[in-house]
Amino acid sequence: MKNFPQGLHLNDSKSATKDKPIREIADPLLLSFPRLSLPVATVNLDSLSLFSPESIRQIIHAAGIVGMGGAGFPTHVKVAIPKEKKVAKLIINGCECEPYITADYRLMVERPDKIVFGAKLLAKAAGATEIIFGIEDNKREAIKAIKAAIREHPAESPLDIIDVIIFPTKYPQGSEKQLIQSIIGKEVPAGGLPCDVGVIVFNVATANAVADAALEGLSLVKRVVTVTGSGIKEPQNLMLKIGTKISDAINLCGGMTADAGKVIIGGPMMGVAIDDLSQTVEKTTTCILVLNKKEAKEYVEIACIRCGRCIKACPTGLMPNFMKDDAIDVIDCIECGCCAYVCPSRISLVQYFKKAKKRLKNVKR
Amino acid sequence: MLKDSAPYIHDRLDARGMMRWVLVALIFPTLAALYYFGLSALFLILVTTLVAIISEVVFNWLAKKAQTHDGSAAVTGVLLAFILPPALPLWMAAIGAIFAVVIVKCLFGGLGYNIFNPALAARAALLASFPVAMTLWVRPFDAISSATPLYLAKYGMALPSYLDLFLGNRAGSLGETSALAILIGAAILFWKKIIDWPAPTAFIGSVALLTLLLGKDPLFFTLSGGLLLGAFFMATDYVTAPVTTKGRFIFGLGCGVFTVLIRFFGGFPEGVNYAILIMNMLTPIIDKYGRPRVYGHK
Repeated sequence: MKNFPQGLHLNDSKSATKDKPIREIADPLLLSFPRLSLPVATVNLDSLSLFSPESIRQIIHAAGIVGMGGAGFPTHVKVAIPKEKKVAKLIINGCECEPYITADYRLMVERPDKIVFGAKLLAKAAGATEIIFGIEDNKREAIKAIKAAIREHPAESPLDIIDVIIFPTKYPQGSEKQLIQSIIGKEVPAGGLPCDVGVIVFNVATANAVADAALEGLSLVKRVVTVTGSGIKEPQNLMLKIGTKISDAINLCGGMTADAGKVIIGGPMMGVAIDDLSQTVEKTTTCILVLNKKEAKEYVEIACIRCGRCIKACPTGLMPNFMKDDAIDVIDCIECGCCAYVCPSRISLVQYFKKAKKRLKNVKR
Repeated sequence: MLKDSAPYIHDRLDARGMMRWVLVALIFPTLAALYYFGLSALFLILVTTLVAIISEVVFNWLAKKAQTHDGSAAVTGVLLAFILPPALPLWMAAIGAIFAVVIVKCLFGGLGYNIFNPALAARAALLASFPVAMTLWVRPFDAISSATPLYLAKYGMALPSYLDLFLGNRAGSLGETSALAILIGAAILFWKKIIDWPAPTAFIGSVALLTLLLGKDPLFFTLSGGLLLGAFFMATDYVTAPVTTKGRFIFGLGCGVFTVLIRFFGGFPEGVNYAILIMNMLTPIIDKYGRPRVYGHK
């Protein structure tokens, strides 16, 4: 197995939330969530054979499940593989590679059985025969838990194999394209989809949601969110209803410290800074990160000194230093932020690329 | 709440920090220069550095541009002193510093936009303007005029020992003589990951190899002249060298080839200065063809 080239070794010692269990939030007015009426009665973690691919897709559709790693693409569309394509491998993405975030990690530690079952359902729906969990080596407890769950609930027809592959901790290991490259040694062709190289990738949280839907008829109405950072009084993972206000989520964690300077939805590498805390938790919200004033300082951009660090960091093989003025390759950029992280001139490279992509889109229309 | 764009965390080392580390690395050749050439070294370094910094401030003020404070002018000043003869009149050195910063750097758009290495281009200009003073070399300690090892070799005269060459006890430009001091400075830059291996390795390696093929002593020709200073401190200049690993390797190879051509087939005993300037001109084209392959493309 060959890991993807380049990328960054980020310091992940800031995960203050790693060893705390996910906290369920009791809601006195809501005793239980409304349930779907399932086409299959009395199921457990070993009743994969009771579900047909078509019924799994129906359940996923009815439960409103989307990719929970960040993209938010409807899962029932993703598992409906076009007839001319064949998907052999289903990859479960357990590489939560941005610093601070531990939501997927806690899910893997606490609900490995459900995740494995959800993965089986997804594989059956997509027609894949092989499931591979990709997990980074800084998540030892998660690796142990998933391996134990696989031993207890091994591959059954129509699946041949369920395996765990462990990767060195490197950013952006959890990026779909880089993860595929690391696992199968092939690249997704430019402008293509993972199914062009015979794979399909889902996040662990998505697999968990699929299992919840199939086992209990639970729609995707809640998710794990890491609320953390130096500006949060009691960092922890919360199981939050979709639609919870960001400010309420922060208050559930003891509120912000006096020197809080920036609120970010998502991680420190790809998240979005917000100033309106009445925004809500969405199906794709992995993390609420609050940085203190010292960390939230604004950088002054100076001219590019051509040090070449962005090129050495770019996992896609781009030359970010030239793309700022000449947007030719910008379509291939995955916006991982490696280039801007290392830039000694503090140029907001990713911001330029996002704008350039928007411009290109408008030109095409 | 501050609302800016991702990423929100950064590598600690910024451009100013890099320049600071380069200046730290340059302390060691400076100490060697002070040891061998005494006060004249001190004055030369002070004059070029101060004039370089002041010229940039004055230029930015006259051109109504923001002051930069990035430390690159100081680096240019120190490096310029390093490649000048120790006995050069200070006013000539000052002209060199002004030329380096104003003509070679600022007029091209400032840091990041200059085509030529400012210190090397200034030295070339000084050599054209003051050919006698720029080729008047002195011995360490007593400052009696003396020829450089490469000159001695070119005309078949007795050569200094390897140890003297390594420690820097020989005639030559201010900061180029002590291989030991340059290697210590380079080690700091490697440790801090400010410079990388392709350009210096290809540069020194190709000079040594070609020298050997020509039937000369590769060790002598590696330790003599400005090769080590040029390879570690000039061919690694971000702005004027290619940006990719492959490009930097090609750049180093070209520098080595031109150095050997000038040293053994040209009119000057030393060719490092012009070799790097020639390769500076080829940098845009190397960048164009040194592009890495993009993910998902053939």
